[in-house]
Amino acid sequence: MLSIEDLNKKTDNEIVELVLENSGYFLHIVERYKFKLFVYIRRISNMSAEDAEDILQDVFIKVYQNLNDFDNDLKFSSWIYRITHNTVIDNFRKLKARPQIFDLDMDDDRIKVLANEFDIEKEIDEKQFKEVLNKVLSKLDVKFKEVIILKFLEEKDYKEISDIIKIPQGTVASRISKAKKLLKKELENIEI
Amino acid sequence: MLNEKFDQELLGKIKDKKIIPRWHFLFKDCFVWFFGILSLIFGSLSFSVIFYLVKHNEWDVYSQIGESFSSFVFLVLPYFWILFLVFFMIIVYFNMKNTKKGYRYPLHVIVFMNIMVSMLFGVLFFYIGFGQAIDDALGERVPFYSEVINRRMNFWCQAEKGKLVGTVIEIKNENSFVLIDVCHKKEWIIEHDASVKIKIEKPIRLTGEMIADDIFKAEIILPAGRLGRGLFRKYNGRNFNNGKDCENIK
Repeated sequence: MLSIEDLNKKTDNEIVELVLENSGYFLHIVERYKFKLFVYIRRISNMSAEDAEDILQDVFIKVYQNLNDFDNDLKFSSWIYRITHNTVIDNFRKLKARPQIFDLDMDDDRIKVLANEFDIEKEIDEKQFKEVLNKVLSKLDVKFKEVIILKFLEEKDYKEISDIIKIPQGTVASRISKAKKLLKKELENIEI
Repeated sequence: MLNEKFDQELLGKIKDKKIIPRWHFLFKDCFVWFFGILSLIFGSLSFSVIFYLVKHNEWDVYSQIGESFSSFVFLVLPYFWILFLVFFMIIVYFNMKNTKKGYRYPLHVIVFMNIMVSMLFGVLFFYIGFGQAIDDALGERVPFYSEVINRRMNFWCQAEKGKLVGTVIEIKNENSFVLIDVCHKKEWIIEHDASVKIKIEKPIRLTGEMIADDIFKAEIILPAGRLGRGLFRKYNGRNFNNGKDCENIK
């Protein structure tokens, strides 16, 4: 077995190759992604931490079983986010519910970036902005919410978002643009 | 925050699971591509028949038979084959979307590429002769051929509206002959101008007037052309029971 230091130097794709030879390395993939995906699941759903954990377990089981389906042309992170996204959606389909925004869980820097991105004209502090954004996002359609979360909170580029949601890059761009317009409109209309 | 025992619980669950072998995914991909390509071929074959039917339509005679260009196009458009083409194009679209990278292409790109490839192969298949072969084969074998598959034949199957199509089976004299109406499986006595030379077993189209239940006065007589040859072969005029269903007659 390779040491933790050696494994840390390896790319995701190299780790996948290692797991296919020796499944004992799978835990390293889990270590790399479990927190990111846990936050992502919570962001795109209104699940409790326990439910999100269950979903995350399902995600890693699917990732493990389908490792041979991973296409090296993709970024591994896009692939694992795609599985996570689909697992959350499948779960909501089973429950016949719609994913809701629970808590955007943003740090202050991210809030500043987003506030600039939406070019809010009203005077609004960062805490208020976060509350308002939570409220406004919960009103948006899922297809707009998910691109906003992936772009501005998960910091994915258009190609990665396209690979995660499995839609063309042009559609990603138009959804982000429309979502930004809708958000800006909602933010300006909201009583602060 | 995540439960501290998350990794242990996960390992416990994964212990019983196996990594799905690569051939399973390759098989799935091949299956999607195979049906996509098969649908593309069927779509191209449909296009080759459309091309064949449109090319051999009587564009030069529609005015002689008393129809405007638009109503003539509307009457003889090969709807069956157009629907068939659209059906296979939809299947190709869904197969494309289910390939590993199909989602990267927008709908209009897939539809445009689909149309272009179907047209390209359709024209190729037409020149190889598939369009004609399919039309001939269906004309011989399919009972609803003239009503559904080649409506241009049905257009000529309206004796009461002055249009008739069939095969000459007997020449009575220089002014009349007997025709088998391939649509209604019926014999007609055709009266015509003596200047027109008629040959036995020749498929022809007529315009004129129905003057009795089995007598038709012809004004214009035209060769039947290439379309619906299979139908003429099926009802070649021999052993024909006038006015009765002739499903068993070859």
